[in-house]
Amino acid sequence: MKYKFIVLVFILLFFNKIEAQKNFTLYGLNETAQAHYLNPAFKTKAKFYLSLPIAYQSFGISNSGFKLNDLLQTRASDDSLVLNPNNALNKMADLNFLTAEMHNEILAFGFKSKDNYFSFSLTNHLVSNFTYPSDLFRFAIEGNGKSLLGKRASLDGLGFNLNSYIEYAFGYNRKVNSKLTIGGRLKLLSGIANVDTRKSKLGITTDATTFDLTIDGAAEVNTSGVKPFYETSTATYNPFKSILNFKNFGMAVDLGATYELSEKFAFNASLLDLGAIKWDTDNANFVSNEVNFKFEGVDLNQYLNDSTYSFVDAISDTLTKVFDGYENSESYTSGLYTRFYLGSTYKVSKRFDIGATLYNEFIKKQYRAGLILSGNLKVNNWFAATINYSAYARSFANIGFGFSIKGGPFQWYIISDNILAFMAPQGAKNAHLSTGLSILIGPNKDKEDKAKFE
Amino acid sequence: MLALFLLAIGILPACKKLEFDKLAQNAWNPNLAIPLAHANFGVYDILARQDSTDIVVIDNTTGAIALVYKGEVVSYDAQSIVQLNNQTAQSSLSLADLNLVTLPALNGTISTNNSENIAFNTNAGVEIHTVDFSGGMLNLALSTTLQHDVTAVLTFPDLKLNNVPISRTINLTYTGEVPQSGSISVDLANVIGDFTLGNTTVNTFKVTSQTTITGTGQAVVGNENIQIDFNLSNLAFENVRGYFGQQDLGISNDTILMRIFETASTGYFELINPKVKFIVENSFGFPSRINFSEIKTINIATGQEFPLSGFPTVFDVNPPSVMGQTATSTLELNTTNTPNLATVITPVPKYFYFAATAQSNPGGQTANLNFIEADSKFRVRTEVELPLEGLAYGFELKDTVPFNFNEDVSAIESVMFRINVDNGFPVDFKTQLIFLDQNYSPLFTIFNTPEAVVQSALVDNSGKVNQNRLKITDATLNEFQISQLNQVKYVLINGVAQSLDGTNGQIVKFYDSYRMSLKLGMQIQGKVGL
Repeated sequence: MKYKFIVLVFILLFFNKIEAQKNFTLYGLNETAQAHYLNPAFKTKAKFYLSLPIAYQSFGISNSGFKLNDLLQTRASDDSLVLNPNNALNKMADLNFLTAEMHNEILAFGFKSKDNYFSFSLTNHLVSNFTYPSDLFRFAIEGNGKSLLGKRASLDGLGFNLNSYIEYAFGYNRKVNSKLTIGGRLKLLSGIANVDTRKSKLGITTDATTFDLTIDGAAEVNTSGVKPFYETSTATYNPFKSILNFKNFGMAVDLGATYELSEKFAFNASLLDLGAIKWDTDNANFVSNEVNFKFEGVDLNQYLNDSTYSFVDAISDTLTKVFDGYENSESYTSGLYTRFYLGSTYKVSKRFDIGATLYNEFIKKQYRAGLILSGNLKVNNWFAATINYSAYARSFANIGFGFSIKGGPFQWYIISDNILAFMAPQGAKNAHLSTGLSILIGPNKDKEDKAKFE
Repeated sequence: MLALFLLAIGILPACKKLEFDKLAQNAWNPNLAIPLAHANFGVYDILARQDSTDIVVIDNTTGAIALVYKGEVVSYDAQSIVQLNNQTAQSSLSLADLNLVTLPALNGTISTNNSENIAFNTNAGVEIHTVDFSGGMLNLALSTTLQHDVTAVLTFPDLKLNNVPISRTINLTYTGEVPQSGSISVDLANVIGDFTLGNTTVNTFKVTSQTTITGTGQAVVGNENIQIDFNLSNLAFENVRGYFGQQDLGISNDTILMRIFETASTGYFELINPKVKFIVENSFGFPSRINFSEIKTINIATGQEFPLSGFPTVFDVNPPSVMGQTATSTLELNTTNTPNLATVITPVPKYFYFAATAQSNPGGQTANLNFIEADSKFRVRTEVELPLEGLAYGFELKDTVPFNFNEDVSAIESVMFRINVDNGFPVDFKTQLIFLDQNYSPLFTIFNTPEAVVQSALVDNSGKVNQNRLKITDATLNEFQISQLNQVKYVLINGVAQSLDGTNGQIVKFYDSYRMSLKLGMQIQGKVGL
């Protein structure tokens, strides 16, 4: 079992290219080969590119609820560090997200043919998302006797979602005319593992007068590929098979367009991961009954009338009935995390432009948006840099930075959506880092740009 | 771009590096609100918790109820009235009775008939006319010193089986030895005996003997006789008729615990129409009379006794008209025939006490015969009936209950108990809890003075509840009191109850539909070191 787990983690974490999904900064560094993952209308100027294995890794993690600084604070009286969970609680929204994403590119290449650009990539994706309501922490920190007294502690939405799959993407990009470029990617998906929290309703209401506890809720969680890790009887599980067997088959498309309104203004838009996977193997789906249970303490009438009455047994029996449910292994379909970008750029000079991008995503019917203001500098054909400010996940202190440098056919780039996370992690809600190495063939250099730069 | 760099530089100083080595101990102070218990009590749960028969509905239409405390004073059975003892009798027949004289040698046969009345003994004062025996033995023994063969036919004309007199024959054949003897037994089951000798007397039955002596050639010396022994044993009757005399039926005194006052120490209690009933279920076929010498209530706490006055001292108990039936006679003491009955209940007495004697045939013998059956009973029951209509105040209750708590409470800063009582009874209740150590010394108190935890429901003009009332009471244990819980061994519960506006004379009534809902919750303030 340990072996299988390690293998899966290896697949999920250490393929050659791990790329954070949002990659606001990569969106601005559109000279790189991988920029078209965020907008299929983007393309590198190289006639051919090949992404080198193990040369690029990226990860991203985002917690919308609170920062470490919110939880640990310096006490003014003696300069000591104290836990202040109430402060962290106050920073939370009703529903918060802890998201970790990794995207591992196994193989990628692309080539230009006249006005067309074709590409292919083989990528492993892992997207996980833990959704936690603030009342979960409020209940743990305050108990139910303070601000939750007389109210419903809403744990609605509490859940975990995970999507791990192999993506075969076939991309096409074409410059329609001098202003409009469009692109698209058709993706064939082979699912590895999935946790899909479809329904998560849980509320604990404490009566302000009697302290009676009313628990309501329902849950429905579908899983695929998880069962082998807790059911020891399944000894033949091998996650490598999922790379090619398409037993959990899915499809998705990316669409994108850029439009140059004038020499100065350009607009771009993309829609990513519009698709779903049908999960057929190693499924374990859990469905709980609708719960509406009121706990009023020991039933004194029973206690007084029945000398054999056991409160523990009684409440155990009751809870077993109330929280009963069933498990099945039926097939199900889960959608990908669909998102779209809307952006515009203004060319300040030939080497420098500024841009504004609106990032939008849907996580389990929850809409989240991010705003990116960027400045993009292209020194010449061998060096480009971008810096941006983004507001995302209720975090307004994100400074992204990235640059690419090219030597011969090799292009190396490193980017982060929030460099502050490395300088002061305690103040960051988002952390992200990507670095990669690609081989780009033709054109060799931009003589005109070089001359102007000099 | 420059602006963004400047923004980054501006943000960085605000992000002061955390120094984890300076992490100080802190406290986690959750506050938990928990429901502990709930209950919904009806009148039976509250007023008759130990025995639901303590409450009866006295008006099925309205559901008006009364507390009824019952006691069985005496249950007197038939064998105590008529005792058929083992007994013996003897009859001797002389030579003259046998038509014999002294002879050197007797040959031939001589027959004679004799009869004798035999007393049938029973307990004093009982005159038996007839007995239907369910069991018993009549053993007959014959012995003689005659040196001749003797045959005796013994007949009991008043002891009949299937209407045929019982008769037995004993033969003695001379073998050269004297005295010679013989015996025989008679099973008396189903035998009906008439002990009046034809309505001329009582307790007597007759036996006749036909004696035949066959001479053996031996002499008749002159001092011989024939002796007959009658032995009655293990007598049991199905029924007896006669006159059973003026017997003491065994009542002396008795007490009845009135449980509602069991834990009450003091108070004022006034009921509109209390009653005391003496109920006699009598299947003895004779009249009886109960004479009450004393009736009173007793307050154990104060030692005070409160005698009833003016009550009827004589209670005549009727017999059933025919055998096999039971006649019920009831004497009810109420405020009409016992003027101070309401008053003696007022000072919350614990016991109802009475002293009495009971006598059979108080008027002596009558024309009607007494009768009794084997399973006849004379049962005297008592019911103290307290219809719950009236008022009460200052009704103090005290109880001490053991307490044991050995948990680590260091993480608890305070505990607040919340009592929600939605009361449908017209009664207020205040309470106070005193926590005592092993020497019964107070450690701390919840509520310095009795606190109202139950608020009386409201009543209409007739005294019936028409609106429940909710009372919420919080009782808080502070940190010091919590730390003392491990020393607490007893909890003294003081309570004071009163009916709605009882001090102003408001009359309230209790019905079987009244209910009280109780909810007990707890709110704990924790302090957990981190």
